[in-house]
This record gives sequence, C-alpha cells and structure tokens, in this order.
Amino acid sequence: MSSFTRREFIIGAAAVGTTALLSPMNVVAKAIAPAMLPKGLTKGNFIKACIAYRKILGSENVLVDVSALAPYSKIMIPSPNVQHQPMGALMVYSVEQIQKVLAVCNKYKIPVWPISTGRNIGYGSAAPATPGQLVLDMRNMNKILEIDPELCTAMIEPGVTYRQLVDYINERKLNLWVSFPSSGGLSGPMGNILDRGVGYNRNCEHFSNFSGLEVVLPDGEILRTGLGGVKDSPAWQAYRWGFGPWVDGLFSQSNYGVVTKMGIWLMQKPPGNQAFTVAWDDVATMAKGVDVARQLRLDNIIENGVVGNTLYGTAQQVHRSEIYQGSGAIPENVLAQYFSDRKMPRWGFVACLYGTPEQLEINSKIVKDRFEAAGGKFRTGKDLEGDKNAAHMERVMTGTLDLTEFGLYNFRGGGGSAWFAPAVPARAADVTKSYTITSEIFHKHGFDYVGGFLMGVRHTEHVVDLLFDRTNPEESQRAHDCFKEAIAANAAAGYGVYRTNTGFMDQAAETYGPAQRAFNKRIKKALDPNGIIAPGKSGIYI
Amino acid sequence: MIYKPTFSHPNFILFLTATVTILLSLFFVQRSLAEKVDYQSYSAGQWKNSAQIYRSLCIYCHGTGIGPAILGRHYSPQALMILVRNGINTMPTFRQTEINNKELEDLANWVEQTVSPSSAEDLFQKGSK
Repeated sequence: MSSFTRREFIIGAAAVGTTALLSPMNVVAKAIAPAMLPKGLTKGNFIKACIAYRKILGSENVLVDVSALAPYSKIMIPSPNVQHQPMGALMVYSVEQIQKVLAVCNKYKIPVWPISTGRNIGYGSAAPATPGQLVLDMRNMNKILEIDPELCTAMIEPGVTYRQLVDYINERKLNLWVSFPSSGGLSGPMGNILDRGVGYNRNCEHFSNFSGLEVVLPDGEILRTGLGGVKDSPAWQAYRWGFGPWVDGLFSQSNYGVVTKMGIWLMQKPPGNQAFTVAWDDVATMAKGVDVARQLRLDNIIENGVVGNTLYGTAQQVHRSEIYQGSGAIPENVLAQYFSDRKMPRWGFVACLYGTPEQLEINSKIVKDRFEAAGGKFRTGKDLEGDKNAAHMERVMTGTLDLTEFGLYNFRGGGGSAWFAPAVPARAADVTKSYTITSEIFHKHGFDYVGGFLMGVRHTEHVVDLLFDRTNPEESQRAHDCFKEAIAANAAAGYGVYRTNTGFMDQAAETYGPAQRAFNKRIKKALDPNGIIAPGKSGIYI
Repeated sequence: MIYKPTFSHPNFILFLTATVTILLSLFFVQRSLAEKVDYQSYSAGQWKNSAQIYRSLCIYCHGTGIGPAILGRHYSPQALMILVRNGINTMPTFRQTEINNKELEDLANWVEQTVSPSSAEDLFQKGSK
C-alpha cells in the first residue's frame, strides 16, 4: 500500500476533480480522470454507458458529480480514500431496473458495487473495495413485503432498515423482536445478514436466521433460492434448504449476484426476560468464564451473550484523555488504577435469559451457580440498576434499538474505526491466545484493546474496534500496519477473520489458502465472466 | 322404517356443528396470519416530515450525547446540509437515497428554527415541518 498523505485523508475524493458533473455529458468527459476508470474502459464508452443508465433510471438517479458522490466515499477504515473512490452511483428502484443496468454493465464491462443501506460502518461503509466502480444503491428498494407473526418471518427488500422493521412491528403490537447489530439504529438486515453480522438476541447469529433469497445474477436472470423455486410456496421463508445443493451461501460475502429479496427470521417475544452480568478481575478468570458460557450455550440455558473488556464499555462513555494523556497505548498500570478506583472489574459478561417466570427462576440459579463456581461475580435484577452498559445491552437484547456503542467513536476521536474480527473457538485456551496476540499487536502500534468476544455456541467472534485518528496520516499508517499484522498473526495461530473491511479483503482471502481463492475465482468466472459485480469483494476477481 | 333426519335430531345437530367447525377451521388455516404489507417508508421521498427524519436518523446520536445537540443551537442550514452529505470525523454521511435534497433543506431549516433541545418533544407532537 502506498503511504498516506494528509491530502488523501482530508481531501479524498476531491483529489480527482471538483467540477460539478451533473450534465451534460461533455462535462462528464472532462471531469472523469482516467485513473478513476476501470482498466479497459474508455471515457467514450463510459459516456455511452451513462447515457444508457440515464434512459433506464432517469438523469436524477445517475450520479457522477464528485460532490454528490461524497456520501458514498466517506470511510473510517485505515485505507486511503483513493483506493475506494467510486466513479459514480446508480440509484435504482426495482428489480427490472437492476436487470437493465447489468445489461449495460456487461456491454461496456463496467463494475457495480451493490449496497443495501450502505451502513457497513467500520468495514468500509458504502464505498467499493477498488476504485472505478459504480455504487449500485438499492436504498430506495425498501418494502417490507410480508410479515408472518405465526412463523415469525418477514420478507424484505435491500433498503429496509432495522428501524423501519422495528417500528412496523411495534406499531402493530406484533409479538416479535428483531435481532440487530450495534449499528442497528442506522443499518438494515439484508446487508448485515449477507456480511454474516452478529446481533444480540436469540437470533444473534444472523446468517443462521434467514430463509430464501431472490438474486439477480450477473446475466440478468432471476434466481429464487430454496423453496422460492416452487411456485407460490408458503414454505419459502419457513424451510431454508429446499432440494438439491443449498446455494444461498454463495451470495454471502461474495460478488456472484445482486440480492433483491430476503426472508428473515424474527424472534418470538418471550413471556419474560432477565438480563444478568458476570464480572471477572483478570484474563484467566474471564477465560474460565468463557468455558462456562460455552457449556451453558451447549445446554441451551443461555442463548446469547457478550464477553467484553471493561474498556469497551467505558470507551462508550468517556473520552480517552480522562484516563490517559500520554503517548502510545494506555499503560496497563494506568488502566488497573483507573478501574480499581472506580471499583470496576476488568472483564464482564452480559446475557439475557428468555422464558416463563418458572424458566427464568431456575435458569438464573443454574447460571449464577456455575459462573460463581468458576470465580465470576454474578449480578441481576436490582443489582444492575445504574449500570449503563448493562442497561444498553438489556435494551438491544430485548428488541430496543440504540446507538450507544457509537460512543466508542468519541473515545479517541478523529473518525477512524476498523473492526478486527477473527473467529475463535469458545474455549479458555483459545480466547486467551487470540486476546494475547491481538492486544500485544495493538499495544505495540500504540492502540488500545477495545473489544471482546461475542458468544456463539462453539465459537466466539473476537471483535476489537481499532480506534484511531483518521485525520492524522502517521496514525492512520500505524493503524493500517497494526490491522495487517493482527490479521496475519491471528491467522498464523489458526484464527482467520470471519469478516473484514474493504481495505484488507485480499489479505484475509490469502489466509484462507490458494484452494479456496481458486475455487471462488472459478465460480466468479462461470457466473460473471465480465467481472461486473463488485470486483475485490472478499478478494474475489475474475 | 325410513329414517328422516330433522333439524332437531341430536345426531344431525352434532353433524352440523362438526361440519361448521371443520369448515371454519379450514377457513382460518387457509387464511394464515401472514400479512402482505408492501410497507415502505424511511427513505428519500417517503418521509412524512422533518420531525420524523430527526427522530429516525439524527436523534440516536444528537439526542443522546454521542454527537453534539443540534436542536436549539440555530446552526446555519447551509452548514448542516454540507455536514449531512459529507460527514465529519465520526459523523456518517447521508445519501440522496436516504434524504433527498428537498427533504434535507427542509430538515436543516427545521433544525435551525427549533427553540431548544427540550422543545423537541413539542415539535414531535405537532409533527411540524
């Protein structure tokens, strides 16, 4: 990667020209720098393609004006803006329009980067993995097409937001909860599920809680997966697997098609719920606690849970300078003193029990006994009053949206954030190892460990927010180097990232070996021979 | 003897009741609770008013202390419009597909005209533009 310059970070997209390009087309020709165009595309053909796009979508829905592209260009990750600069955006309203747009893309070999709500914050936001792509913005395709309160399913379009879905359910007093990630107040289900995001309630493993996709393939053909192939099947959203090969996974974290409809599973609101926390004073007892949490998940006594370093919760509420004003990462002795003064533990676990009052009573006792036997401090009910982090987690585990975790972005300031997220077995030795590797690398590069472990059943998503000042080129370069090293070191220990941002997809794909890369490429070539869908997504190209 | 059922015959009433029950249950089985909703809102051109936009997009940060309060501060509408489209540091950008230019202008003017953060609830109640 080339070195960062202040110009790249501050001016970003403006580096390619500031001329307004709304129309006519001769202005487009002047303002599009050759470097913005994908390899092999001439300015002349780009103009012809834009004329075709305008016929399909209307002039107002084809954006090539640099100033209008600003909202598509802003990223928080440690990667130069110019590497993610789109050359335009197409605002689509229907499947038919997408089919026609893809026909033009195939004709001129122009790549598009599909987005649903475009809120992959800390993973690349709405900007493409490589420059010279048109963002295919489906935010206006935002119908909730069906809700089934008996089967607890919904059928949605790409632009539906979590807020829209939650409001719809609440206004009709349906007995349903939506699982959403920390960005739920702004983002939407389709993009999060396709990127295999994680939420907080019983359905927290989002990619395990959808059924049925409608996909526009690169050649314009429409594929409905699973029982979507059976005419008018009422089971499309109820049964995931259909008949024969299950292909839905091919459209997750990939670039093999444009997903235009998705069936999602909702959580039935339980008769009761009870949040609880467990506190630990060091890594060793936290790791023992992970073993307990895994066993409780295997027993189906708990159904969710987050293990967090206390700095993760604290960073949402205070500015870093309140803890430390020196250079480099906050020293361990400073953190120890800070938390000791406030009688706060170093690690915590938050989860929520769901069920009838009888179930809650008995499960609460089991959970308390097991965690306490392993050295944890258990709290629930009135003992949690005044705990802002516990209150936030209880809200998101019981269907109420908030963006409390965005408070993280004020901790260090400067607008830099990249989520580092390896998948790690839910076992004491493994969480200790991944934590040690990651925290040492972060500290070495001068960054704080602000993260934790999202409890699956047999695995955890070890999620750490690399917070840095993106207005500072030197710090951004360090953040880049830190992220790169963390991917490599965790992969060397067997902990591959389960998801990553658009600046590190090639590296992440490399860690999964040549056979997977070659296989992905063969599928790409077969389905998308012109490479028009999202080149670079997950390191996949033709 | 030829059996002639009458309406008062207990067996017939039982038969009729069973038939009606089965038909009714079939009707309700056929008519599941699944709702075809075609529900669309919350994107460009669909917002009811500026208060709804504020409540759906801005309030999570600007009404909770994560971002600075913007109501009652009389910020320049022009500056707000630039910030919304370009973001700054932590603040995300908002695209034309989320808020179109007219809606953004209305929102910026609405924010500028608010008297104070505490007056927001009144504005929400009125749903004023």
